[in-house]
Amino acid sequence: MTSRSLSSENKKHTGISMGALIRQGLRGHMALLLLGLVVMLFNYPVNLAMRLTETSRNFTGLEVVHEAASAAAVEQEALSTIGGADGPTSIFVAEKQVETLAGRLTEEANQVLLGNATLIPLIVGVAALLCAFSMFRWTYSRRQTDFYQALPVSRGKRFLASYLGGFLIMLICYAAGLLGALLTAAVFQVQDLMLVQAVLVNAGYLLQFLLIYTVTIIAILLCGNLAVGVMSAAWILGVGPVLYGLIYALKTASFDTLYDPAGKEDLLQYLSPVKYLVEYTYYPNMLGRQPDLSPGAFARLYGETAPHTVNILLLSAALTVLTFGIAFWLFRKRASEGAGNALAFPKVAMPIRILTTVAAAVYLSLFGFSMESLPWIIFLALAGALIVHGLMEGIFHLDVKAVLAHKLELLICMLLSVGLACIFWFDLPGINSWLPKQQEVASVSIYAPGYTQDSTEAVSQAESYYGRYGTEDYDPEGVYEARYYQTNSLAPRMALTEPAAVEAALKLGAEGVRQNNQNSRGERLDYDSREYVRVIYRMKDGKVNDRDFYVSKDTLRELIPELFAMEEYKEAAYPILTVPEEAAGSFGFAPARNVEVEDLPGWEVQDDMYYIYYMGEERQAYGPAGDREEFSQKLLTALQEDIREMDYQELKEYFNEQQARDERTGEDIPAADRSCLVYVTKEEITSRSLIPEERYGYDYVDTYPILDSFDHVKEVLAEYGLSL
Amino acid sequence: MIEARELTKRFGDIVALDNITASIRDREVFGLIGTNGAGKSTFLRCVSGIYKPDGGSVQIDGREVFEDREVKARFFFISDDQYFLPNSTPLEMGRFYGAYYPAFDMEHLRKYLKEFGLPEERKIGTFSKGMKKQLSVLLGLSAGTDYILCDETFDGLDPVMRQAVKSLFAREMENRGLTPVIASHNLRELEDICDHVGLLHRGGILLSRDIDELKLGVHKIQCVFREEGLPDELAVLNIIQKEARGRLHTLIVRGDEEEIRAVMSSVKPVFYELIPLSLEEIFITETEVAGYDIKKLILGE
Repeated sequence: MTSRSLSSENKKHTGISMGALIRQGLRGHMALLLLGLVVMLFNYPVNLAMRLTETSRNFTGLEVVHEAASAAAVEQEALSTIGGADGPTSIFVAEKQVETLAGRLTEEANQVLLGNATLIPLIVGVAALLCAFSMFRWTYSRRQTDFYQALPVSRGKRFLASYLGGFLIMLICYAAGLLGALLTAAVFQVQDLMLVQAVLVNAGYLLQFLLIYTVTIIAILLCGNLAVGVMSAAWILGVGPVLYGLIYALKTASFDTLYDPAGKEDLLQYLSPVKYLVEYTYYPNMLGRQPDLSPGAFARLYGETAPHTVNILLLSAALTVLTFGIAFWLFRKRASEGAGNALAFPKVAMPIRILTTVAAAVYLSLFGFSMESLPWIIFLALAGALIVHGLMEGIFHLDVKAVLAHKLELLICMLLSVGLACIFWFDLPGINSWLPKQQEVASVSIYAPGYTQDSTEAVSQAESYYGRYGTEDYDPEGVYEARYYQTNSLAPRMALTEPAAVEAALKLGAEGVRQNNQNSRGERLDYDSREYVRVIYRMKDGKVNDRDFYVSKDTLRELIPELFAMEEYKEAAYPILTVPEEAAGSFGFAPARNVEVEDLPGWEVQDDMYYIYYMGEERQAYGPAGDREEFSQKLLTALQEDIREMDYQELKEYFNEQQARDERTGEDIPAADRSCLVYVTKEEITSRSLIPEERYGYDYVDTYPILDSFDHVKEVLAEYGLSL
Repeated sequence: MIEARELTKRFGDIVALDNITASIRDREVFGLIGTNGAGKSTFLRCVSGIYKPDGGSVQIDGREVFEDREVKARFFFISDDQYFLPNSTPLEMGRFYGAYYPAFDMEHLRKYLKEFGLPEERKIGTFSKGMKKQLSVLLGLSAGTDYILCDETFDGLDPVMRQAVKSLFAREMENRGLTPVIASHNLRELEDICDHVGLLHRGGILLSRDIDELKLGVHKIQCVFREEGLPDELAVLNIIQKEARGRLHTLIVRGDEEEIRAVMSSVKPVFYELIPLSLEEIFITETEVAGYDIKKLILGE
């Protein structure tokens, strides 16, 4: 064969196929593939086999009931601890459990298939890093770059082959793990597996893998050296949360009156793909409790979390496509001679150096903030800039002698670091001293949990509706977490427009600013005579200013009764006031300790409120036998009337009495000596109906202590034969 | 034909190739010589499409090399430190390349391996440096490409092997018109194999000539005259270099051999003879004329 004929044959040849390229790639990474298979087999089939064996060995129906009850008590205890004295008074209700071994095995298998009882989130993150470095590390070697780039393959095809190779390694290992789990489940004769959900959940995890994998590839391609590549990956994966943490720390250290230092900067965390993975892990955790996959049922059961998860997945998909495009472009543009250098794209060096230097220097200056010393802040910012900039120079030049390579840039970094620290130290934006003009304010919220400890007990009971009624606060972490924050949930829900309320808010703000200024000048506040108060100013131009202040207790003593007398304040504090009669949930009656209702004719223990665990004390809820819809509607109307008429003084006296009793007995059970109404919302009942019988009952039930003035409630109870 | 036109390649502030223009004709052995850092490897990497030129162009038969798969399939690049897949054997490497080069001939490879005594199923990682060099050349020859680009390939080969490889090149050139491009910092390695030589220095090309043309056009004359000094009649010769030790003169003269002999005979020296110049001497002469000290550039003296 002659040279010319060979040449013409080459021209007709379409080149190596993508499949062959990928196969070659996989053959070169057999060690990683084997490691992945071992990890996934331990994570899925081995893990499942151990769990199923353990469950089978230890199962007894009686123990299961006991365990369920204990779990409920523990969860309630945790809630109470987090809520503190002002914490939730909602009562956790656990349904009597009757479980079978088959049911337990199914639950175990489903939990593993959905990734809840596994290390899959961690594996996904680590695997993405390993696969990315494994498939693209060759770009750091001049020998390998010569070898691969001289071959007759386009760069685009080479990139795709390496990219898909890494993904395939993960896919093969993942599929092997899940298949192994299914086989294990079959061996143990487990039935009713949530296969569709498992496919969806794990597809979501693969998407999270792809996002982290692709972003890591970008980090790798920007560099030409493994050590710098690792740092680059850490930088790109962490820059968002680190910047967020910096701004948060600076605002916390400087802006004392800002309620939420996180602010919109919270979104910076979403610059990191790891954040999406973390957010996504909540999804299978909840899906594990959800047998019905229909969107409606899912939304009903998990409220706002479902759309959040969908948003996370959509964002992850969009970002994966975007970052894939960037990585593809970088690979094609990346000069082969970049191999071995610190950076393959030297132009990115300066912005990365400046950003990293300034961020690190300001971080260091935070020690000066904690010492409340401006000289230290300046010194630490300058020293931090000098050290970090020098380190970056040394790394980028791969030469320690180059630490002062860009002196002007270093000077700029120092000035920026000191300037940024001073902006916060001197509060140049004027956050701490800001106060609105009355005519600019549309509405306000006032919430003083500290002072109103003797009044918000009833308030916070009402707040336990939050999460079902969720309005302004978006709670991506699920309804359970929402309960933890409920002490502050009143404020965002409240919108007081009456001039007196706005004036009160302005008065609190003015005093808060004055107190803060005193504190800043070194005149330490006497916190014993002051209370924390949260004030939200909603401006007519749509802006919202959410502030924390410390004001004197005398000021609050004067203002709180005035606010309590306002209709709109009460409606905000007690959402049950706005529930229409036809939307009434279910009421029960929980007698005080000294009230015996065992022999009450026509009353029975309510099936759906079987046990009440409250601060470790077991109580039962009762209701009239038969249809309780009318009973509940009547009680709702009566309770609404009583709460509207409720006097602040009576509420205060009631809680003073409770506090005195608590101090005397040490029990800390405010409602133990007083009968209560127990209420489950209609949404809770609907959600509960979606949960299998063997699972827990209502997550939360709200209690309303029946005060002396609650005549309407008493009348309804008497109508049903219960006289208090 | 490979053509580089005003080829420029920079690495940051360093200009590795500075406006190089050169042609590499088909079916000839092109030798590229220069000191370390002269730009030989960079030139070959540009030719093989590994590096993208910052200026100018590299074309094979009128088509740009960079990112043109079909053009790249016409050559095989052997770097000075060739990479082999981890844990691979010669045959596995052959199969690997076979997926990329449609004319790759496994039978040829087997035959070559046998001829050179390289075990075809042994891990390449256990090979000596010289064996790896041999293997990379054999793989390149088996690829069946039109061009083979060798970067310092003959370094590390013993004289026997070097000769064997040269024979293989000659055979492939004869059989299928292979065009080898060989970069080396050692002129002596290229002398008996190259048809054309390019001299690179500091990113620029000092000269690019056919070896025959070089050898035919330049002559070394050793002569002795009765009187001290050179006779005035020799002024008609194009003497580009002269040296005298007593009455023994050594002249490097450019021109036609017959004409030079006629002039020498006319001045009736006591003794004279024309000695063939080695490639090295020709380069020394040519580059010194151009103002460079070639001994330092190539021979490291």
